Amino acid sequence: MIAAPPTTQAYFNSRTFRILLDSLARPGTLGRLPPPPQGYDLPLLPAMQLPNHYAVAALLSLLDQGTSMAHAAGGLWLSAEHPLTRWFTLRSNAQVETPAYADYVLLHDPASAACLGDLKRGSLTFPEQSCTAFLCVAQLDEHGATWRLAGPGIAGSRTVGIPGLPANVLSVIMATRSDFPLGVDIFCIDVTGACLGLPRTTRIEEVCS
Amino acid sequence: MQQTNEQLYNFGLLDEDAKREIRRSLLKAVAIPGHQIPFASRDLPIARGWGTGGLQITLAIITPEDCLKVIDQGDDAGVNAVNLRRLITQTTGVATTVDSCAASLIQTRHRIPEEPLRADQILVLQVPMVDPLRWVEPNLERATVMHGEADYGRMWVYMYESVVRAGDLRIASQYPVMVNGRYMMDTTPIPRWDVPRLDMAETLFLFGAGREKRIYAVPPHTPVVPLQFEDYPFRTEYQAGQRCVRCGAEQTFLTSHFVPDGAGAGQWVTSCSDSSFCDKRLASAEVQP
Ligand SMILES: [Zn+2]
Repeated sequence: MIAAPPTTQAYFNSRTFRILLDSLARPGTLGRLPPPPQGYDLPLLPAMQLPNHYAVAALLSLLDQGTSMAHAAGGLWLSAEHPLTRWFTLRSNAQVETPAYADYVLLHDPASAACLGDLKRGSLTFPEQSCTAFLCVAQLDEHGATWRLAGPGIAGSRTVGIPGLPANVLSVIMATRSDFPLGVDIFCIDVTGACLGLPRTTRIEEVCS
Repeated sequence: MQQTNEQLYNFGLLDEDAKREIRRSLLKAVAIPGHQIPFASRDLPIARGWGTGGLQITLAIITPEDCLKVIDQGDDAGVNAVNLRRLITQTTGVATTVDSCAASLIQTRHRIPEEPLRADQILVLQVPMVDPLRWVEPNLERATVMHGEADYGRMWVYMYESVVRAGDLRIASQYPVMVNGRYMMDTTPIPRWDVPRLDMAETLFLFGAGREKRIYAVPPHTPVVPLQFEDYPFRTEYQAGQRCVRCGAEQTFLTSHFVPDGAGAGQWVTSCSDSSFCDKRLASAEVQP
């Protein structure tokens, strides 16, 4: 047997996965996603609507015909006819699904975090049949202190900075995880590719300033 | 022609769809510590029951930069370890090591290496028997519902009756724990010696069962508490005065070997089950005056 070197895409997917896995296993320790490989020819969109390409590539690395997806911008779910939806389905063969049944969602901006409440959280018997959300944020700061995190993967507690979040985001997130083992797992990804995993086990508090 | 017989395999043998499915299951497993996630276990050129669950996890997560260690019963030279290591290196070309400290990815059956593992390492365990509830509920679907409802009353009764019968919690190599205070998890086949080392660890532990098609995980810094009773507390295999005949270690998990004396008799001796740790101690003892 001879080992073939991984293709560029396969290699990217494997490195991305290790960052996602580690970020989810250590909430508050920021992962650094690799830059997407060449050929991520995102569709032409008005500049204001250009998605975070790290988040797009990370989501795409998990999608195939066995999964379904949806995405939202400005707090509104985007249609199946949206150019970026078609771009996703063409490259992944994933199904476009109504948000309440989607396996994976991309939330293009912090305003769309309000949509987290629409997502499936699994059942007691199958809590894994829940949605995983990729939430694009402007900036993540390992030394900042917007939120204090505690739970599995964290020794004691640790803080993380996420400037510029709408005021109600935390309450929306915590409402999705009030009934463990049900819940929505979240990856926050910033414009530099920094990645914060927030599994449903992570308890989050606002840090009083 | 010779070359045409050499097939070019996909990196990591599994196709990309299979890897993606395992990766998605692993993310869920980390998010729900101790909960068993079903996955579509693939057939591999190794018989099921010989570590295909752990092997599929390793093949789904390995990257060319990894340094791999594979052990069986703590031993890098065990037959199962050698076979699995060969398959993984032939299909990935990654570097291998016997040194637990040098490995980024460790696949194991039965043991957690003696040396403390770090945050930048991942331990993949091959699991033969997944569900601790099989003793009280052999039907897997009903057991899944019981896990969902944290319906563990019958299991506690069963455990208590077992320990009263056996005198203490010596249920050989099958020892249930509670993970993050919610899911009951089997620790088979690791010895009781290693059970406390899952608790609040630095390392991520991933478990794969090929035959039963389940994946589960214990993230770092996660409480893992053995089932125990006030009158019958959990105990490891440690025995006062125990000692490795090779390196002299007194705080390791030991295994027994029969050493024949050539005259048809012999004696039982005990040495570290973690062979690489034992070799390291021997080597450093030889260097010192
Ligand atoms: Zn020894």
